[in-house]
Amino acid sequence: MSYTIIEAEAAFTPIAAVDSGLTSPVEVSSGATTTYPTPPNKLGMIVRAVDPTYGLGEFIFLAGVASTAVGSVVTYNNTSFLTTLAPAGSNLPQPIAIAMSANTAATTFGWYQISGVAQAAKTSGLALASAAAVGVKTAGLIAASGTGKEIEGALTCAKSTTLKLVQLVINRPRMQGRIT
Amino acid sequence: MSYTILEPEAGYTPIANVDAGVTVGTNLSSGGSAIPTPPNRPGAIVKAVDPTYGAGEFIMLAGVASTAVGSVVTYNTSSFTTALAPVGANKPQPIAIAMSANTSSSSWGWYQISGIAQAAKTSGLALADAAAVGVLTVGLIAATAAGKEVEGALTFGVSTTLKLVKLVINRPVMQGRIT
Repeated sequence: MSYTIIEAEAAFTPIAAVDSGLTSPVEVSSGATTTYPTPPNKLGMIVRAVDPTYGLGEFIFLAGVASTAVGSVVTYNNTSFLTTLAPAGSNLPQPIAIAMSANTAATTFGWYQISGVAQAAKTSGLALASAAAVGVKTAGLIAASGTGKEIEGALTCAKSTTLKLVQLVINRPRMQGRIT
Repeated sequence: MSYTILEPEAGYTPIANVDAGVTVGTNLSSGGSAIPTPPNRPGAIVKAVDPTYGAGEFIMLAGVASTAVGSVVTYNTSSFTTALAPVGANKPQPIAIAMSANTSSSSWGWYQISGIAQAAKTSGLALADAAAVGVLTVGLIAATAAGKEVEGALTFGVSTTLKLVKLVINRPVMQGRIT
């Protein structure tokens, strides 16, 4: 993958890089500092980028979490846009995204794909058919679809050709919600 | 909320404002039709950033009576008019959250479709953290229920105001078929 951002504004963190952020001045009362994205990056921002092989995609800027690898499936659900490795599905219809970098700390930031052709992490060696629904059965990893565990807005676009990654076509994917 | 639009084009209506629009094509028999004031366009989607809630996406739509800030609306016509979201009935229509009290089909405003939204709920209703939600009363968020869930949305934090709840959303839609 070699995605290049195509927004009008310049100087965004490259799609596959991690932004270590900037640290605010020490607060007098608490002695604490805060790490925030390096401008013009902003938490929750969505940009478009293009890859010579995979075409156009959309990417959202989020904070990291331990054990994230390129392709990890994450959820993001709080005011700090912190991520969590997507837990095994449990009929909770939360938005998900695919990590573009090994962004492994809550104080660092990176891009996560939410539309286009994504390379998502799967259990090593797992066989997945072409044009098949997928799910999350192990935290942060793609698997075959399962009851209550499917990803809505995602489909494999070819048989997986690497041990650890599978190509998905995604469009603002979310975990499966209610079935009643 | 204090969202500032981040697009390269200038002159958009501020996120929390209502655009009264302009009338074009006036003629003696039928009058004219109201369109958004340029550069606003029906269905345009822009990015905006808030110092507290980060970045989000917003779509320009026409209003409907009884809309308040935080109202949940559907938009499903070629003219981008809205309706307060009806009680869920397994109909997978896109929804959005009103950013202004845009109460007329001839005025225009922004509706949030991704990011962290403040959505209207039944006054005093308790909603848990990280919970699925639904539409059980027209235009309002409630707890999830069969056939009434909002997909692509989750609460975070227990709701701290009587009438609003924070949701993380990404192009939310009402629950569709279950068979």
